[in-house]
Amino acid sequence: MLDLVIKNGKVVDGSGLPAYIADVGIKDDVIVKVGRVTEDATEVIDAAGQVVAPGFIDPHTHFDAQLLWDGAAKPAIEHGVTTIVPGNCSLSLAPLKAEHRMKLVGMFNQIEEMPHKAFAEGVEWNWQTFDEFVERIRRGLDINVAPLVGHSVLRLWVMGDESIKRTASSSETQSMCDLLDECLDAGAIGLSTSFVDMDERLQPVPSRYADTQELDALCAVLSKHNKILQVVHEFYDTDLTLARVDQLAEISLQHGINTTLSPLFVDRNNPDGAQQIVARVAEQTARGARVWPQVQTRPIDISFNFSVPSLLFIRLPKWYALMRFNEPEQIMANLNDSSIRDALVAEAQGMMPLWNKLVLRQVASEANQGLVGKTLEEIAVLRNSDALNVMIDLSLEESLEAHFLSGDMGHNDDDLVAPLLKHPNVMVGASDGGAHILSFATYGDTGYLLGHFVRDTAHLGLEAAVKKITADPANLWGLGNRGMLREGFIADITIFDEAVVDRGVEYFVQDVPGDGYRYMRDAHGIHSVVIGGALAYDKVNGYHEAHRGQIIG
Amino acid sequence: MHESSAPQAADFKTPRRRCIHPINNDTWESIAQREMPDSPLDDAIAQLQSWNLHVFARRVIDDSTGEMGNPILPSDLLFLEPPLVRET
Repeated sequence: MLDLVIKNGKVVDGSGLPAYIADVGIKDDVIVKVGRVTEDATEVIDAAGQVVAPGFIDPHTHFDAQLLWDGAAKPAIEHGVTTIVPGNCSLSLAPLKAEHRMKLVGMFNQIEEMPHKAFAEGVEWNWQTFDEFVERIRRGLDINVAPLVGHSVLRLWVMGDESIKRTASSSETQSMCDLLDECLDAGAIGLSTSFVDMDERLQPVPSRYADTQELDALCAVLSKHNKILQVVHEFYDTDLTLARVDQLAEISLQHGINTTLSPLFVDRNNPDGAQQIVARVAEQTARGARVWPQVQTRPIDISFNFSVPSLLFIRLPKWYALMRFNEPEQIMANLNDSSIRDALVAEAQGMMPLWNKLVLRQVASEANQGLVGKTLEEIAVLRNSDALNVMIDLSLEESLEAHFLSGDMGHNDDDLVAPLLKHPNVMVGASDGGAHILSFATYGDTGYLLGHFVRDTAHLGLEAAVKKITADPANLWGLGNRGMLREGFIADITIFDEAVVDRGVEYFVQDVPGDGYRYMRDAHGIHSVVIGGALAYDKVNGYHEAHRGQIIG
Repeated sequence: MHESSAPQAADFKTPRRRCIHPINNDTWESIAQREMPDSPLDDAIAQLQSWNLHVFARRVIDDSTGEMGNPILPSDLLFLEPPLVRET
């Protein structure tokens, strides 16, 4: 007697080979047969007309904090994602001494836009070591978690405040290596580091104070465990990215490890940049190095209201400080002060082309509903004003509940993005899932891949796209027998309708601890999701809370 | 790491812009002296800074003074030549 049989589905098994019609039989948490299954089962899913694929793997997320109050990392599972990799960009929540908690919260707040209140009200700080953290999140886990350990937190643990001041001594480096060794033994799948991120004081994060000897020593530990190195690099600059590719190639060759850098964006103003980077990666691959850029599927856009500090204002100190350090009532009071308002307008005047293009996407009042969907330039004409003052006026009229969308921020040229998505040297990733929750929805990238790039524009074949988000990341990140529908593999399975699958529209929802909000997207076309052999989600009943998620290390 | 251990440009088909990682406590002056010994020091420093605006224009607390400055970080990459002219 089997536990579950998925009948008559179109099996896209993750290998990239052509799809075929078959059943998938599951016993306990393992796939025991892919073919014609005649054995009885406790549960049967009729998948006729549906694609049956390995569960999707999201290799670049920041769900670290959310996992402490939500073991499903919602809405990842309903988008078909069965395994997430948190701990990217030098930031993980362990190992972490009690005295460093607020420092790390500040970094998460600044870099990943996770609100302080979410930590204050959603997190019970009952761990310090990586092992303790893993045990903490293992309870009630619905999604599989393959965690990275962050370089900045290793430095913070060993060097304390000195971690953001200087290079490490040889004994401190050794202590970090010992600590990394413990983390890898406890379930970490690799190390993440950052060459670009800033903390809450807008100062470089600890990993940026590491010299190459320190990184080299840590990579020797990764080599011993055969684990991956992830870096976030100077992605805004082609020459710097090329140099980082070379650096990672040398690390990979010296230590025999996989390395990945993210994100890789395309820039319409520099259309050859990404291709040059991929060409360099291919060249380094030919030398035997393993360097894998990650490219995200979705275009870049940013949404915001004035109650939170948006990335759009990062280069406007007066604006950023106003939103960063004040409660809504204070922000409104400042905007109503004519001298402060004048100073803000003066600072932002130079970015008028950007403000003109912003779209009013959501308001609370009936009075302004008719303006939703218009650009600020259009509204300015109606009000005999300018876009910048319209943005301020609407925010005041709506008690800061006016939401604006800046679309067309880049990475939106299909003819440039698609070649990256299907390139053999490029991984699909960099979703940032769970991060930047007050700027954009980081969910649904796989739906966008399968809906937009596979079905709607036919840039990729279905089998190739599924391989990119299943077997490829499973192999590269060392996730063992996952990512394929094969006998003996773990039964992480996503069933979807290829005619419907997509990401839904973005909306603002209050579901974060501390009465917090985030931008969200629903999924379209996901029929069912199986994790560890049990139904984790289906479109009729929603989440099943089977708690079959595992720590994959 | 002070000198990039990567292969020389001739080993690659794709163009490679010469760069280094700083040695511990490197300054613009020390890098200019070491990497561009044939150039007048002030000129070499000015050139280095112009090729490395990602470092030079960055505002960071300089731990040696406690003031805002533009110190070179140990993980930085520093170019030793201007951007290469690429075919488009």
